[in-house]
Amino acid sequence: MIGRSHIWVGVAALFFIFLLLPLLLVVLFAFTNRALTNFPIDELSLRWWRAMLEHPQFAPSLRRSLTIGGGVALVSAVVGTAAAAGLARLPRRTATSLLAVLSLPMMLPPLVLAVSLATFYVSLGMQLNLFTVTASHILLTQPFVILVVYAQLRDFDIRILESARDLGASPLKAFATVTLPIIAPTVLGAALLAVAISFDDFVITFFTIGSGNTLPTLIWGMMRSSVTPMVNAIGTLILAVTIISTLLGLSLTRYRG
Amino acid sequence: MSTAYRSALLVAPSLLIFSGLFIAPTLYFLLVSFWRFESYELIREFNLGNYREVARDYVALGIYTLFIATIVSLSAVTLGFIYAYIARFKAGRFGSIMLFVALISLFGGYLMKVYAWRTILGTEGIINNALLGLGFVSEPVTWLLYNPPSVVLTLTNFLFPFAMLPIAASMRGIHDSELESARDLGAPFTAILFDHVIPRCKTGITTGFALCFLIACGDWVTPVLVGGRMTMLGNLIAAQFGEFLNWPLGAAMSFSLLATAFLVVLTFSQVMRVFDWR
Amino acid sequence: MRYGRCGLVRARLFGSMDRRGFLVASSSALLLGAAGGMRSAKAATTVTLVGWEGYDKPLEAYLKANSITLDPTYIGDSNQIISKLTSGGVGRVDLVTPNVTYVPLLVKLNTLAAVDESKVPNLKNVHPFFLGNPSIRIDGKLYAVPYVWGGVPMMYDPGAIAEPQSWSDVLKPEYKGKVSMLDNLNNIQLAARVVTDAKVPTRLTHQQLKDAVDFLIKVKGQTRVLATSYGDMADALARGEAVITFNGWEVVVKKAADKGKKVAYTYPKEGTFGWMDCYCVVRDAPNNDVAHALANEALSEPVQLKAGEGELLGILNTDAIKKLPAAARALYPYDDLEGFSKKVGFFPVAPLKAEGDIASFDDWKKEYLRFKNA
Repeated sequence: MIGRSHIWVGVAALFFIFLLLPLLLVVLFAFTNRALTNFPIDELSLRWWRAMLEHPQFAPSLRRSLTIGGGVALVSAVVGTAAAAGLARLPRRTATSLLAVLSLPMMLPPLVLAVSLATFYVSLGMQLNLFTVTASHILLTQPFVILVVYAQLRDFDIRILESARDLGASPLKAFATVTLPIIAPTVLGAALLAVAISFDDFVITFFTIGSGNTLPTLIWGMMRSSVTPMVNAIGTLILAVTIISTLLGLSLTRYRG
Repeated sequence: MSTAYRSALLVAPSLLIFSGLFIAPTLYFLLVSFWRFESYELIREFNLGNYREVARDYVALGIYTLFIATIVSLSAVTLGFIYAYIARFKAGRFGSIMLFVALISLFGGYLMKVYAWRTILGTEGIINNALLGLGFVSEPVTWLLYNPPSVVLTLTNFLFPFAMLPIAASMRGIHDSELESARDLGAPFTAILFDHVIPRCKTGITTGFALCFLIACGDWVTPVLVGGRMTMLGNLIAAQFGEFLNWPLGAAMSFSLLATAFLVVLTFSQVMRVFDWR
Repeated sequence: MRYGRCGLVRARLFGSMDRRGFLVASSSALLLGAAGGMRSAKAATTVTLVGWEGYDKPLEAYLKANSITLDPTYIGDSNQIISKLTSGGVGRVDLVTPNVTYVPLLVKLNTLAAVDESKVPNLKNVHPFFLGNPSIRIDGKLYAVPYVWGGVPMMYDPGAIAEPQSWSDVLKPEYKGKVSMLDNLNNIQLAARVVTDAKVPTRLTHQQLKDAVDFLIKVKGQTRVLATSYGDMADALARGEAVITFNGWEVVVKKAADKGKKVAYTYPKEGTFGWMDCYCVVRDAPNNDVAHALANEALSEPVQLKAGEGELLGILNTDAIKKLPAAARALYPYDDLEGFSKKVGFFPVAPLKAEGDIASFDDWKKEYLRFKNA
């Protein structure tokens, strides 16, 4: 008879396959030397990575993805940290409900959010470009940053700050010299989570970019046309960036829920 | 400077972004749903024509969309519950690794996951590879891909972490000792599950369901890539901002979808109340 | 959830962040470095294009030589050009490649710039048949530079089935699940050829429009997947998932051959409709001059030859046509353009506003939505 604990191990293993197999396959087929994404893979090769680098649209798309990701990280880190600092001074109940309100955009289907933003921008006479994409992403990422930074500030020992103030530091100086160094890793981590969200986003970008591609919209175009394993190579790059920034972000913030 | 004043000042930029990019566009979009598009011109006259059109032509499609989203969310929540349960009560130290793996897959690879399932299920995919290689079939089976079940499977895979993480969060509050004492009193597994675990995870389950449902019902990428000629309401909404260019109709479809989706989520949370009296 | 609850513990732990901090810093430096390196390689001009995939390929050598970067957004339907331009694209997009039948509509919507013909000297080499198309000139001003043309054919797999005769052949029971069809509003024109007696398949009565869409819905029932692009259609044929198509493109033959599959095409007996895709300069284009230069270059003999020979497109530079190898020349009725035109016809899109019982373009879109919803 199989022990009960073995059953759990088996079930957990099935879950891991279900969760990770699709992503592993994407990565694996990025290194095939054939033109199709199936087995057998005769030989591992960098053929499709070279094709990716030679693709005229790759470099501009990567540049756009990075520009957007950088802007999103910077703005949502600054704005989000400020908001978290503000919330930390409020009673916990007020802060939690404000946080819930700011998280509302995440509760909307991304498509609805995307088309309503696009309609709004165009009606205001704005041109759809990287700026409109960045702004839209910030709306989605700022609640994450606020949540993570607020969680730390809430547990922050206020006495250190008070002693700094007692020693004559201005509020701003106390923040810069005491609070900021302590929360800096968390802010950096939260910014990296924002990068992960932005770098992977397809739906919002697709509707608010106007023209030109980011990496996700580039592979969307490729998937709708003739598919080659170059899609896997670009997809692997996107996965690498999002997963590495998530990993770094999570370990810096130590945020687990 | 008072604390309240300073707090308000610090939160202001965030609130400004929120109201400028969420409240204002949503309200404007609601307004647009009452206008109409004619010969590529936006006619700003209040009328209910778009909603009438939705009620006349798209009810069946809407119900179908909500149906698919319900199946997806229920599957994701069920699987997520099992996974969270194993991670919390059965896996010991390994449990935190399980949660971490799911957390990482939350942010990465939306398009890639959909694409991967095409690689797995297609006529040249790895399942057909295996079936052919093992001699079970003589030519590739086609019913694996490009149909509603493949959409459900793909979406469930993608939404799994969204369902699992809130449930895992609410399971953290359950102490081992509670379950142990119930077990010592001779309660069978099902009784422990229904009387102790699920009632305590109610919030997590409802949150997970809501997140999954709201994302699934608005999805349009998955049907396009793995659904074959299957259409969900999201496809028609997206088309109103692409080749058809009819914002008002697209807006009316969006708000109709949102309203009914919230109703479903509300119903689900009401159904979850059956666990209250236990 | 958190390591040290007390701020001081946290502060002390900060030292141990250095290694992670280093990782973060170095990986971001790497990415930024990569992006920076690319910036230095960036060309002087970036031209934004919204159009059909593959048209830029014959221009690659020219783009490289003049360090122009093309920034394309590919479409599956000319209607997407209208959407892009009217929702914020004007002032940002330089070039579009619509079917000529959409040009009057695009001009009416004030999205195109008149072409400065002095900057497109290669126009003189265009076969007069194509320059005679009434849709490229509006109020005496040229708005479209013709590039390539064709008539919508039916693709089929000659290894699997005999040459089809009629568009209705797709409804044969034995083809169920083996039909491919591009999701494109202009399919209505084709269906109108089959099920209505309308002389001009873009001027349909409401009843004819409905009949045509009913027919399309029947065809949809025969498909398993709607093709999202012609590349997608070629893939389906190459994989053997489709053996016959409703609508098509001569170029699919080439795309399928690249994947190792022989595909053929035919013009079924009901006839079809012709198209001519043009380079159009968008109003307020950021790179107006370069856009003109590209439109001109697209008509040059070498580029047209590449398009005709390499991509199997229908070309219109008279010198290039003469130099085409026999095989590529045989693909299109270059010697009997008038006859071809009578058979297939180049029709302007449906009227913008309903004219009596003739359905408007809005009606077409509404009916096509019914097809999508089916």
